[in-house]
Formats: sequence, structure tokens, C-alpha cells
Amino acid sequence: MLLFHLLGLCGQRPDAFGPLPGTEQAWKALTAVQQRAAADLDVVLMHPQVGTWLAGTLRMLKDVARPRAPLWSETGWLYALIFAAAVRAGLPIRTRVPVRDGAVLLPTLGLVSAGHDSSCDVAEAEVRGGRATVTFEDRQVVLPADPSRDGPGWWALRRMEAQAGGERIEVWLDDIDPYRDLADAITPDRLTPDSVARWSALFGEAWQILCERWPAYARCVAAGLKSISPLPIDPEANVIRSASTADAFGAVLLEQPVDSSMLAVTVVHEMQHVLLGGLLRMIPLHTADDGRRFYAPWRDDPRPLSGLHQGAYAFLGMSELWRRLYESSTGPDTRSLGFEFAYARRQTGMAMRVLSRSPALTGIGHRFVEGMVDHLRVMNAVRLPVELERAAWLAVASHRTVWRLRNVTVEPESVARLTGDWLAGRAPGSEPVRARLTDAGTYPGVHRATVIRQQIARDATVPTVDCTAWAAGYTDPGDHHWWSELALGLADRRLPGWHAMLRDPSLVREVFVAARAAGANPDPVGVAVWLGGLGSA
Amino acid sequence: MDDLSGDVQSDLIDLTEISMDDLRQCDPRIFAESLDRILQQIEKPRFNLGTGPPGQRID
Repeated sequence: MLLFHLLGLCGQRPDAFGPLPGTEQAWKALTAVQQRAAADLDVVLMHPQVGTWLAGTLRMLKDVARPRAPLWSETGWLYALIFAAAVRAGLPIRTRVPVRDGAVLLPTLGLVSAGHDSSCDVAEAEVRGGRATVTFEDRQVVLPADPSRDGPGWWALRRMEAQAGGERIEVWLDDIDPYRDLADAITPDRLTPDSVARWSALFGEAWQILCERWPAYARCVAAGLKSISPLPIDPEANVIRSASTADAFGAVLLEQPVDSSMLAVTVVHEMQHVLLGGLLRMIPLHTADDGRRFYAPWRDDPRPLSGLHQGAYAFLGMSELWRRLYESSTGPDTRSLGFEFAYARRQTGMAMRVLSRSPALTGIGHRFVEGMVDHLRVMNAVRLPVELERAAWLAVASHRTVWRLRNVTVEPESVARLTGDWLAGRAPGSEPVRARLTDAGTYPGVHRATVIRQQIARDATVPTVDCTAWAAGYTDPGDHHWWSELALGLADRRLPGWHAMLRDPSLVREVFVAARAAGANPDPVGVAVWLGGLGSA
Repeated sequence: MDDLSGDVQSDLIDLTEISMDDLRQCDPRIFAESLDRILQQIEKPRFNLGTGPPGQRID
């Protein structure tokens, strides 16, 4: 349907295919290949990266996105797609294909290269007598009889295979397709043989973990995961990046993780995104975005409901795998695994409380979320050591407190009114407190979860809350860490004022700051205690 | 994850058995609604981005 629409849009533009054959020829070539090699064309059309190309090109044709190359070279990749299907089927064909950065990518097959900095932007592509060739200005490349192997001017699209517990999986390890990224076309970044070997080994181990610990989900991954595109490793950062887009069903982008457990968890996480993204293409689970934003325990910024749902679903899957890894663990990693399970479970639960009550869910959306709630209920019945639950609580409470301090701004009228009450020695008035959400962006500090992970990994202990920060005195109203430590210190020991500090840290801070500005000498804990019985808007 | 029971159907038109040639002969109004729904999603793409160990992501 989208391909049909793309050709329709191209038909309205005389320049749609530039120097390549025009729209009518594109139609004829496409229908001819479909008539004679439907199965091979289907394989190519269903390749995730073709989805990225198709969606991106449609956005360009509708002026929603800007092409980085001449538009015809984007639309004209349709001919590379048709040629790829013909090569797969051994179908005679002769056509012209766009050249980008001296190369032509044939989806599901590989990359044909002119071999040098080539200025040519069109190549002749032909299958004749069982032989496939791509001819640039000054070089002809003959595709290998077995295109899964590299050859002169040819980089094969690599494949990873793994088998465990009777389950087999094959995925592309894509380091060449220009549409392997989230949207815009990118250049190839060929992995070294050592890197490919490392990826294959990790993937095999991760697959074994998945098949042993969660075989039902492994079958889902085997059916749905089609392509992994490696992201460059950042050697200075102790983070792992991953990504996916609804435009490319079955594809994920991954930075090589440090171990196979991390890879397995990340695959589950991204697979959950892929699944929900595919479902949302077909069935609406929410009504249109009404502009409301929500707290997501894994984000520094406010999120729309759809984003909260995606995250909650991904974390639900991740929590389940952490649970299974924890319950089957007997070694030194047990406490770390227990923390990850406890933490992910709490994060999921917080998001589900908002999601399950949302009026923006459709009828089917409610059914879907009820299923998520049922799954979470099963996980919540798993008992964990008290110190791990406490560590998870600390991580979640810290994140939420910092988030509210950074993103919730109490309206000045509410601050002024309550400050006046405080200065006059009155109880806080019962008028609703007005506040609004802002977007403070990425948190520049270190989240408590990171500190907890490091300590558990180092000596298997759970860190205590450092209450000395607030005992040492207040210095800066913008010091979110100070206010967060105060909140956690009070809450961890259920000291007076803890409830207001956790519920509305921004309000406590703003009233405290305003009272000081008015010449008083308030105690932040005293302000929190005073605000204790207040309801917030 | 448990499967949902099989009584959930998509409103999108099913073009599985229709060739590109047949599609070209069709009255486009037949699939206009489905196309419009998908195009709305295409025009507002959603990316899932993660940084950090699982649990420190930015979904």
C-alpha cells in the first residue's frame, strides 16, 4: 500500500526518478518481477531496511523530511530493490540503479562498490545468462555466484546463526545498508572479521540464555527479529546504546554489549518495542496525543502516553527476563541480577499505574494493558531479599524526586500564597496547588541506580542513603542532588516530612526559597513537615 | 507473554492476495482509509532510543 502510494506520488512529479527510468517503467518492472518471482520480491519488500527507505522517502516526497542526496536517488532505490529480487530469482533483467558514495546496496544481498571515490551516480544493472553484473563508469562488478560471500567489489550482507535447545535463529548482521539507521541514509561501516566473530559468539551465547531461560519468548524472537545493525562503540562511555524504529519491523540497532546476558536483555527490550510498534501499525491502542505528558521512570523528560506505553511494555519484557535470570542464578552475580529485577519491576509498576488508568486507551488498548497488568501481578508475587527491594526503592525514589525537581514548576501564585501562610504561622491553605510540567532535558548528574549497581558489583552490598548532605547545610536551590538526598534520607527512615518531600519536592523547595527570600530562616525539613497534609493540584 | 485471544482484528485492509498490478486497477477509495491511517504514523515517526545498561534507558 505504501509502495503503491509512493509510485502514485512519483507519477505526479516528472523529475521523480531523475536520470533513471520513469514511473511507468518502475510500475512495469515491479509488476513483472512480482509476476515471475513473487516470493523473492516478498523477501526483499519485507526486509526491515526497505521499510526505513520507504517511510523516509515518502516523508521526503511529502516535504516532511529533507533528502540529503537528490530526491531521485532516494526514490530510485526502488530499482535497486527490484534488481535485488531479480538477482535472487535469477530472473533476466536490465535496469539502471542509483549509486550513492560509489556503491549500490542490494537489499538482502550486499553492497556493490565501484572501488574508489566515484562520481558516477547511476550504474547499469543486469542479470543475463545466470550472471548478475553492476557496471559503473569504469568498472564492472560481477556478483559472486554465492552472494553470501565477499568478492571483488562485493560486500555480502552478513548473517548470524545460532541454535540452542532445539530453537534456531538467523539474523542479518548489517553493517552496510544505508537504511540500517533510524531514518537518514548512512555510509557503510564494515566490521572487521574479529568484530564479526565477537558478535557471533555473543549472539550465540545470548541465544542460549534466551532459549534456556525463556523458551516461549525465544520462539517469538526467532520469528520476529530479522536484523541487527551494530552501532559504533564509544570506548569512553560506560553505556550501551540500542534503538529501533516502527518503520523497520524486525530490525534493531545495538552497540556491542559487554556480555551475553546484557545482549539477551537488550534483545528482549528492543523486541518488545518491535512487537508493540508492529501492533500499533495495525490496531490503535490509544486515542490521539492530547498533549499531556507523564513521568516515565527511565526517562529524564516528560513523555506522551504512547511513549510511556512503549517503555512500560519494553520494561515488562525486560523485568521478566531479569526475573528468570535471577531465579536461576547461583553465582556471584545473583545479587546484581536480583537488583536489576527488583528495579525494573518497580519501574514497570510505576508506569503501569498511570497507563492502566488512562482515559486515552481504546477498548482494545484497555485489554492489552490489562494483560500487562496481569503479567506484572505475577512478577510482583516474587519475593526478594529486603535489601534488594530497598535498593530498588532507593533507585526509583531518587529518580522520581530528581525528575520532579527538574520538570515540575509550581506556579508563582501558589508559592506566594503558601509562603504567606508559612510566614504568618498559619496552616497551609486548602486551595489546590497549581504546577506545570517543563522539560529540563537530560539529567547531567549520575543517577542513583548507577551508584547502586557499581557498589553491588564491587562488594555485593547495598548502599545506604547519605543523610549527612542535608545535615551539612543547604547551599544552592538548584542542587537537585541535595534536595533528593534530603527526601530519601527522610523517607528511608520515615522521619517527619518525608511524605511531602517525596510527593512534592518542588513545592517544598519553592516555599523554602521564597521564605528565605522574605528574610526568614526556615528549616527545609520544617517546611516539609508543615506541607505534610496538603493536597496538590 | 501470553497471547491475546484470537478475536482481535485490525481495521486495515488486507492486501495479501492482491498483486501490484491488481492494486493499480482498484478504486483507490477502497484502501484510502487504511492508507491514511498508516501515513499518519509514517509522518510522525517514532524511534525507540536507549542509552545505558537496561534500566537506564530513555525509551
